[in-house]
Amino acid sequence: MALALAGITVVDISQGVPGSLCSMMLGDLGAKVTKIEPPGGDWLRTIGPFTNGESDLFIRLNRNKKGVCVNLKENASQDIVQRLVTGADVFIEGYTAGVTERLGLTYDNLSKHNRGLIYCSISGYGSQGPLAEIPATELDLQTFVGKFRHLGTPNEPPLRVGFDIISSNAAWAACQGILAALYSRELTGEGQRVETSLLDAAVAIMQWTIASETTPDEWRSRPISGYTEAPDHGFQCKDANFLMDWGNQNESWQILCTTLDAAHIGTDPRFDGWFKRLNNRAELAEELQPFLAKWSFEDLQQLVQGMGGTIVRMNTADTLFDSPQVEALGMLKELDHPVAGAYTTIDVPWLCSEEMAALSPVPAPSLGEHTGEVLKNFAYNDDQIAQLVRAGVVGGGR
Amino acid sequence: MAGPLKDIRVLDFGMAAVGPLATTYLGLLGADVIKVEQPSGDIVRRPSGPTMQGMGITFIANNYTKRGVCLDLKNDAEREIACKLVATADVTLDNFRSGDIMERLGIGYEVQRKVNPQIIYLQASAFGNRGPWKGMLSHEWMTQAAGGYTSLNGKQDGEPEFLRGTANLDWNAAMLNCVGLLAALYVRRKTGRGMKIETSQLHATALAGLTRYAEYFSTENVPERIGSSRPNIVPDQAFPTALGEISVSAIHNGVWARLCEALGLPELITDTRFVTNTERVKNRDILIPLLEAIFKKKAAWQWEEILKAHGVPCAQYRRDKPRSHYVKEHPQTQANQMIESIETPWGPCSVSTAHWRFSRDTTSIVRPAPKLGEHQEEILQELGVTQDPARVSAA
Repeated sequence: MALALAGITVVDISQGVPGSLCSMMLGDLGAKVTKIEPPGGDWLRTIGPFTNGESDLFIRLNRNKKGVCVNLKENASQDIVQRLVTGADVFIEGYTAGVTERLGLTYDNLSKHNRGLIYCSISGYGSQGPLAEIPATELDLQTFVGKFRHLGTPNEPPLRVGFDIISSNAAWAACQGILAALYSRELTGEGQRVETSLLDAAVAIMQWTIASETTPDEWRSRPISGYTEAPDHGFQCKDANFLMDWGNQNESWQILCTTLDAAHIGTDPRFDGWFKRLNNRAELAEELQPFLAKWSFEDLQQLVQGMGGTIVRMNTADTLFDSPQVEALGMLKELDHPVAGAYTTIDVPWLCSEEMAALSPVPAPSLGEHTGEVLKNFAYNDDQIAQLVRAGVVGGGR
Repeated sequence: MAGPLKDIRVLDFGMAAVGPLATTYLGLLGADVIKVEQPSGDIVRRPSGPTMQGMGITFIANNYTKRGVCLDLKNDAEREIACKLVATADVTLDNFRSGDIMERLGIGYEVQRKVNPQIIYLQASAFGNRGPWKGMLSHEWMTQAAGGYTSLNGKQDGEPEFLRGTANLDWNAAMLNCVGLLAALYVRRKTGRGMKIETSQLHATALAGLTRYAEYFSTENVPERIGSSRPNIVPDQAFPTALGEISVSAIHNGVWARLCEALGLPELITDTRFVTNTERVKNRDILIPLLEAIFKKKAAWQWEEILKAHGVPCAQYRRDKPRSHYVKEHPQTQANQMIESIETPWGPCSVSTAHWRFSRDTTSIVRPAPKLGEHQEEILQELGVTQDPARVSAA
């Protein structure tokens, strides 16, 4: 048995979060990934915090890849990338529209000698339209699609969603596109170009919001644009912010209220039923507040879970990752990096009955760590490599 | 050419979002997706929240591309029909609170595998199939809390915040479920072997947070919420201008240099206090006021023109019309055909199209979300079974 993408090779020339996460996931699915970085390295290498000089972010997102340093702006680099891609199944790039044309690395160029190639583009805004050539970041896309309207207070400075939620989903979207194209290739023998973008991912994950905001004929709930409401900090007990819920089990809800010495809230028609409790949560939180203040989260958890309800703390990194649930699910894995040492990261998100994906312990490469090795595999001899290094076309080794 | 999954059949036993969206994506890729609903119907059909003609928009928006059958899995004869359907399927999925529910209904993985040894079955719970949180019901906001999503949203020194009136993490989990299913389909194509996959929304959320949680893993410092900013990239935040606000992200030194030029502050490029991101992070309190003073001198729309001309990533904070209308009508989403208004039994509804564009394969929305049991007769006929008409609970 083997992992899903055993035998598949990937060449990734992108930088930043979406491409790195995407090719990392392809690697965890068993693909052999070669990451091509510019002479200064992927900019993620410059983002802290650092452990022994290594970016904690970079080493987690670039596990299990061979690292080759190539200056794509040098004409001589085209031949190198062409050779690498001729033997590859998947090529990933993350530039704005027009850049791969300038670099000579278009789908047409690269597929000429490799009809089975799957060429994946992950851009900011998509390849067409007035913003196609505009670079974009996580924050720009959050701003563009209006994520800030769901947080904060009107007339105060806008807030960001703390997760890189759009970048992460662009990575998942790219993985899907590549896997679908690989599947298609099994049927037809042909590769193809597949493109996605931060904007595609942003629109996909706000699907419900778009449908809800642009088409309803009737409203029976809190408004979609939560921006006009007060910020929602959940319920508060003695030592935590949290959320709790019973579905439609009104009896449990009433018992809880009685236990909290707030029987009148249990019978309040504003909170009668799941949707009402959800929709009137701000009022509910206010009413319950005095009765929750003396309870510890742990006691409340026991009470609510014991009655078949759901209760979760508004976790921070420490309360989440120290929780018995994360331990029970085995979500964290400890790996080793030759410079940064032992480090913790998050395991693949699928638990499978057959071999499909596994967290590879192979560490992220240093800049150009495998330049020589990879170039030799593609029929460059030592002299040629030395020449390319001198000419500044490639960089190699520590 | 049709979608790559044109020969694949998917049974969606899911409800709400995490399950159904994953199979909708497979439907966009050409799969024949059959939504199997209990007589009570998917919970999000209920007229709560935004609705169209009494139907929850959540249902309409999450279930296009699917045909619908209605089967009472607690009834032996109808469960038998469900098993016959499983025998014809390639992929099944549910997002019940735990894997125990399908087991209890008598249609768990082992039963499915008996009628279809190659079946790929994905069980997507909220908190996983082990541990003290197993079996708790969840929804988007529970997941925002549990996964620490809220902990990074808010003002510096303020309290953590939920995203109000939107859902991201159901979608994030569905996206990862779809990746898993596509990988499993590829494995099966290669080896002929099906499999069971278990996922949790909690795990999917944590993984989407890896780029921020990396800091905690290495330093044990709980990552901070800092308004529109972040602790490890400077500048990467909103700036107030003479009129409105603009987001500006100098993610690397190349962009930083272009930003300095665009702001007419080329001397900052070589200023040792700001010469690398690490220095800029260290001297954030000196740098940000400097930049704030400049941004105050022009309106956001003027800065946007200037910054874009210099290749600096930026975006204006727009509040001039409802956000979704802005996105839907923007020439950028239109040029890439990212949003489409589809005809549904409940009227036209704007939905996102496929989030990929292929050069050979096509993706399409072949049909709107089904009415409850809309394709009952057609599907049963395909199976060659008849159902006691008295038991047809379909609308």
